Amino acid sequence: MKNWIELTHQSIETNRMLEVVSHPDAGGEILFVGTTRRKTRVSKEVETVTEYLVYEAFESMAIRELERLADLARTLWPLWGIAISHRLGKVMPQEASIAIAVSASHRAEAFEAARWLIDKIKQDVPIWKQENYQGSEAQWVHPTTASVDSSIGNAEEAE
Amino acid sequence: MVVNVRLFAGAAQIAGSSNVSFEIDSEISVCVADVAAHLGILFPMLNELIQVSRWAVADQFVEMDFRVQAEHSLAMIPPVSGG
Repeated sequence: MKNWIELTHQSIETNRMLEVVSHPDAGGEILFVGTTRRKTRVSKEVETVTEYLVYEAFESMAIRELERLADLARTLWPLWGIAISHRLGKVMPQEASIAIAVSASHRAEAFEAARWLIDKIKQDVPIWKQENYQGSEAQWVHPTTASVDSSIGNAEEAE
Repeated sequence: MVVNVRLFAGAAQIAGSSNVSFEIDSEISVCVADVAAHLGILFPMLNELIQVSRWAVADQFVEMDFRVQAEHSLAMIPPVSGG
């Protein structure tokens, strides 16, 4: 099955993505949805409130990187379908910023591949978010290595 | 040689443009690190991001010693935050 990849300014149609990866020989389909989080605790005392995010991409390269990662995932796990959609432009809290659908013959591969894909996408795909916090100016997020793991960002790192 | 660099997100905001072009002496061979250094001289405010950015040519990441040709379009990729 071919990879299905898109960058979109519209709401992500997750049901459609599950249809795309559907396969008669699949035993599991995983749908991961990364959503825009409203509140992020940055310290004991401080909590930021996101009004909305704005995503920007280097589109031609982002598509190419997403294709590359999907192809690489297929070399690591036996997978049927892979579908990836990333929002661009303004995204409100609770809306999906990204969705990844993966199908495989067995659930373990599907779970592992979906987890691997979101982690790699967050490292390598040229897409950036601009935080628009309540009561503060818009700011582009460029995590340095030290802060990547500390969940200062938004979207799916919420625990 | 005229070099064209695409900038994104915070880098474009700092430079005030998503596309900058400048002349580099090409009698010596030019690599991506030279372009990055030149960009930092033109836009000192960008230096902090330049330090942590990767570079791309033709939609692919390249190393800092990648040899730049006149027809190449470069892109500075500051740390990404998609997902």
